[in-house]
Amino acid sequence: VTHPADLLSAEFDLLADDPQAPISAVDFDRALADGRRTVRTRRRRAGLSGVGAFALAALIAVPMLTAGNAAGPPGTAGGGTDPLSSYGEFGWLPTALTATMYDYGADDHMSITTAYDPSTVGTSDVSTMARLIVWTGVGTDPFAGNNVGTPSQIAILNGSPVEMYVTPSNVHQGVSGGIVKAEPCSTPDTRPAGQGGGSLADQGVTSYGLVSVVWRTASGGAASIDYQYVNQAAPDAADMLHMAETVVFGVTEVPLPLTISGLSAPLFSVQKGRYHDQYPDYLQLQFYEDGVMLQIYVDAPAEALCTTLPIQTASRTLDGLRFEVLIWNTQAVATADLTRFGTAAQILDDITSLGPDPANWTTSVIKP
Amino acid sequence: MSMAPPGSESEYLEYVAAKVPWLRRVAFLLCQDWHRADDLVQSAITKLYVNWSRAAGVEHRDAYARTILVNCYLAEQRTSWWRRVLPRAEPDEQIADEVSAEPDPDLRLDLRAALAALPVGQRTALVLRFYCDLSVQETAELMSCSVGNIKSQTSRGMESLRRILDAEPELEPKGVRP
Repeated sequence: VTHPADLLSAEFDLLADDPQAPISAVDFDRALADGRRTVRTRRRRAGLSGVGAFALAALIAVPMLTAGNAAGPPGTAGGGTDPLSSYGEFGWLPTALTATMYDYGADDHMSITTAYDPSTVGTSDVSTMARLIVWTGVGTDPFAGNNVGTPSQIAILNGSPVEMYVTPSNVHQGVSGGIVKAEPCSTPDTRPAGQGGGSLADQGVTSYGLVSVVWRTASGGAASIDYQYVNQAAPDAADMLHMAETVVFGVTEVPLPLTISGLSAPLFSVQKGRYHDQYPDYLQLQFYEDGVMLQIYVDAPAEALCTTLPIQTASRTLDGLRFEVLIWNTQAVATADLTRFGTAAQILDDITSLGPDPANWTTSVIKP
Repeated sequence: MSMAPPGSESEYLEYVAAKVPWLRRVAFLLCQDWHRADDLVQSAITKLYVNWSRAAGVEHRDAYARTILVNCYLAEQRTSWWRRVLPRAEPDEQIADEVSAEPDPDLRLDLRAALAALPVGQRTALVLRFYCDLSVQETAELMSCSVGNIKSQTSRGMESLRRILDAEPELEPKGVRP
């Protein structure tokens, strides 16, 4: 008598060997290209942490702040896809962290939620903040790479062990791998003049540090919380664990007040939320490929435009919202190649405003 | 035997060229739609490239690639992301349409429709156990759940298949689970 499992195996073989199956559409070249881009993005993301974050902030965030248009930390989300989703939210935060910003990127199934202390925003290159990163897929999370070092502490979170890391003082490492910098430090800012406006000490930063906790979630993904603190004591382990154990996991689609058609540049990150009391409805989309960065801001018409450093800018007000397109040259791209996705004015023409009423906003922003 | 340097792009290309047909069949059994299977394999081999230096060092590279593929599938199921971005009908709906509009006595289509009607966990457990020939323990590790859970999913999946196939005339769209 044939066992049902054997029958099922045979049937599966027949089903999978379907002679009427369409020709494979798997594209090896595209896998190579996308894979290379992801590797580049990861390297860039690693460079966005610690001192690297401050270096890139010199190129992007600080000029934006100087122009009065408060940019959040440079896009730390991975290459994103549309629609935009968040995979986790904070359930509890220290009382000082009242301004929340969301960075979205569906690529690699990762999202970032950052909560700031608004009183520290804009006063220096660094601010006090807690950043939650959620990876929903094994293989793309910090445990999959080689960047998680030897844990220095093991704590218990919801009954499961949590890896915590402590790095030596004055050594900054990539936080996405779950690195802890538990000791305050005072590090001279070595950026060239004009790319950050003096040392952190000159900006009033006497100490800052980073504490992280990283853990495997029940669904098989991973999460980490990085707490950066400026001019204050490090959070204790109990607070870090409480933040972690109260994280609410789940998919949240994020409606946005615009659609964009015909833009071939890959979406790199989206930041939405309240970053600073002065900018309660901040929205920034970043597109990036091979040194060309496009930024699209949506804000109130009364806010100052950023017009100083981008290669091209264009803006207009539609239905009570002001849309601003900026093109940046981040890697000395040849001038002629900077507009390969269109000029700022052309990109602006491809934007459709959905108005200020959230009821009309959409989660499907990027149109073919 | 590959002559490409371990961990190199050329070795990666040799590997995926040889293994994509197999990965595609596994993906099809998981999702019941050849187009979506291609999308899953595309995602999986892209992630495989990203982790290729690591994959090149593992003892069972096929298992590593299969794990990436299954995780891509399960992650998509969790987030339902694919439902929002694919411009075609959901595969289960397509199958249901085929079954209801033009009943096909062919057992393959029956099994395909019955598989599509299973919950994701049961379907994945059955495919891993009886197509990929994984043990209960291996399946549990791949799906990040307990051995008991896999035994239960497998048992219920087999029972559900039997029940659905026995009740073929009742296999209408309302009975097809997303």
